[in-house]
Amino acid sequence: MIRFLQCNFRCSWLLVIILWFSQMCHAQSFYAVLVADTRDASLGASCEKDLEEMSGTLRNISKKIKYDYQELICSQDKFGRGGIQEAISKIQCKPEDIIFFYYTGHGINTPAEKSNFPILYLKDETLELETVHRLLKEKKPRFCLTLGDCCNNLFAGRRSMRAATPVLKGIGVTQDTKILHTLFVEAHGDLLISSAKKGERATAHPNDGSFYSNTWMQAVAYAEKHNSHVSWETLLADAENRLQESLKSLPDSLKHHSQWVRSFPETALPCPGTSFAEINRFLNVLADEKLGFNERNKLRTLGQKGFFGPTAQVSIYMSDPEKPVETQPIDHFLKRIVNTAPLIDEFNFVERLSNLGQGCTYDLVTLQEIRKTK
Amino acid sequence: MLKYTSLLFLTMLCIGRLHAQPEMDRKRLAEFEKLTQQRVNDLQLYISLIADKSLSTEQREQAVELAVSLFEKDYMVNGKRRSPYVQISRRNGTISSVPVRIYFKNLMHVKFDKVEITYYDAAVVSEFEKGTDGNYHATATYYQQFKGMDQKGNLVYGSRDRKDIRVTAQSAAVYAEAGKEDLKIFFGDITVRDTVPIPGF
Amino acid sequence: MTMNRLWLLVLCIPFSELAAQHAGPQTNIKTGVEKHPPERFMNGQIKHLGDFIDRFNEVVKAGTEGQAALRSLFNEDDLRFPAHGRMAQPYARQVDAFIEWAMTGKTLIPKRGVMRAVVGIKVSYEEVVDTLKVHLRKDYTSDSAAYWHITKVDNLLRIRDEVKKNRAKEASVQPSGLPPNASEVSFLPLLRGLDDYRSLAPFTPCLACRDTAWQKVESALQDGKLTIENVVSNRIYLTAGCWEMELSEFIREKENSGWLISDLFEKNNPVK
Repeated sequence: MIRFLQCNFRCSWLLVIILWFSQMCHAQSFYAVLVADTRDASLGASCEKDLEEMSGTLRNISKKIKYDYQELICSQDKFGRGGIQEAISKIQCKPEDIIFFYYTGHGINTPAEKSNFPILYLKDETLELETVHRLLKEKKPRFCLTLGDCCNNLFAGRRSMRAATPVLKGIGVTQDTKILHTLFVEAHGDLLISSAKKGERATAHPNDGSFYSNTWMQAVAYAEKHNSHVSWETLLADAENRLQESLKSLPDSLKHHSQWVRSFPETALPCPGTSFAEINRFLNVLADEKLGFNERNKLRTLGQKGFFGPTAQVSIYMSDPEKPVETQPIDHFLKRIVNTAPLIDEFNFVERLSNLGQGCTYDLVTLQEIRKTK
Repeated sequence: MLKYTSLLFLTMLCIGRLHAQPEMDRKRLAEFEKLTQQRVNDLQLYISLIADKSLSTEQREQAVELAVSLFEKDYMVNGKRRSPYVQISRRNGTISSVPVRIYFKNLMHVKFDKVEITYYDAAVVSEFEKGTDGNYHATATYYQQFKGMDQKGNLVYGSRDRKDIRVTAQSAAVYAEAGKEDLKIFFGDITVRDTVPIPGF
Repeated sequence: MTMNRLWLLVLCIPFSELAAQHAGPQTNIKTGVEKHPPERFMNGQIKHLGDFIDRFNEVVKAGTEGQAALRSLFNEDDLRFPAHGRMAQPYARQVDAFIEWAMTGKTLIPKRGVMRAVVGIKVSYEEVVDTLKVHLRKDYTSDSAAYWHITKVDNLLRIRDEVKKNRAKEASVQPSGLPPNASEVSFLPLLRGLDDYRSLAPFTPCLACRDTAWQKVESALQDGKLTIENVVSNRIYLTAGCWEMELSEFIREKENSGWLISDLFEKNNPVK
């Protein structure tokens, strides 16, 4: 009897050890390679901020999707081609892993360069972003994302720096991980993103980080908090909309536009034409005072029929989407934003608290209206 | 007896729930104060659009419609129809009152070739205070300069006014749910008092 | 119509300004619409009674350091204050005593305390213009709702004794009280209420307040002999300790403007 009990005790411990070990073996990894030109005289502080924010964001994402976060930072002494190659070599990638490469610093492009994506300007060396992306893909992760926030213009110029109100960012404290799951766990393939198209210069705030990085993180945070559906296409379109909103007071010569290429098919959304990115863009165009009243008024009547039901209501909140402060009929709301455009900064549409009716038009729209600060 | 007492108690409880006016949370009221501030800024902008003769009639009429929508609807008192009024008191002692809708319509058709309205980034809303009607009440105050000019740009009439608007946050029973209260903001009467004649006029 | 087709349709509409992220001249919205930063007096003006109470309490809490700030709550153009070529009057000494007392920091004005008002209303009685003085008080219900109500009406000498037939109407109208911020808009709700109801009764819940003078004015209103025109004066009374401050509104373009102390009374020592 005693022998039997001893045997059972040992077997139980063995089982526990095997189970624990198997967990460790099967834990998926989220590799984050973060490259930042923190020593640069003009960009250094901004890159430091980008690094801090992106590290925090990615760490939170991996925690929420229950991936083991593995961070490899290339800044200060490790900033350069060698540092990046060393970091990539350390990645021991398994088929279910995720690799996320982020660069913030200077970038260039040349007329001879075939790629539309920038060349990373690593002081005495250069490295094409597409080359980095290819090297990472060769590790065969389940999902690989490469993001370069840098200039993409035809000579190594200074990045535009401007003061602006820092945008809201940060992954929320919500327990719901559906959106992050869709973006990072269900994705198979690769995605290459840059903050500026060929010939353009990207912008950064001296102390608050790069504009595109901020709007990218903001788009992820808002999607996580406000959406019930998402795809990379709609998320990146939303990040681009937010970037344009943040740049709208700049002269056209200083504006830039993000670009991306994905290898996987677009996720089928219930109503792709009325995605959250489309709604946000429509509302922000109506509130763009640089366009004339007549044009925006025409857009209003067209867009109203396309996006909203005839009796749709708009629920406006200040800080908590569950506690609106005002409800307005859609017709009245759209007329109001066309007329009060000079006062409006931007809109944030909350998809998860909005109702899609028949014909892919919304019957209830929940949103936050952000006014310009004095 | 017990059955009837219980029934009475339940009835009282239900009535109590229907008519209870729980005190609104200060933080929530502050959100409505912020909303009121936004609506005052909207009104300032609408007034400027209405008076701007260089804009299209369609835009100016939309601005009138939007401005009027901020105000309480007409209501009946003692068998008479009432609507919010604008009362204008001038330093020369003249006082005139006109319904809000008429005021905005008149503004569209003022007899100047050019109108310039300047509004100031100084609109203020007082704290909301509960009244015996169950609604919350506040006062919004802002300043405005009006210049009416002839074709050559010569000043024909000018004034700088302080405007006080009564704001009512009405309990919106349609929104009320257990644990949630909601209010609807309406503007009421406006008093207009001129400060000094504008400099140079 | 799918969204793709909708956006295509939108792009077909010939509006050149949309094609240009080359933003066109901002003519449509901006012309004639100008928002300026505030002028000093706009920020400094005491716009609402709540602001006056806040400022008063702040300066009192500051003790002697708040003396200058407390003086600025008085109407600086009051002729009773000393100025170049002008002697100080007893009122100025009274103000000094008040300030000295206030600096001990012992009494603050409660934000939701009782407040009195005396409103002068221009009326015409049998086509002769006169001023009707109406006394009001701001009170609170048990569930913290605030309201203004009439406590007294000064008789108009021209009104003859006519306290007769209208008692039935007086009894039937339910008292409602005026909104708590009626004082901020020259008691316009009272004016409109008197015009609507042709009666003081809805605003006089206190039956003991309906004295002979009240009833005379009430009768004249109901008979249509008394016509309400507009508010010509609005004085608010706040109590701080044994002092009563009279506040008036000074609408002018300087920092010393808005609700300011226009008179001062020491409750136990009537002014000589």
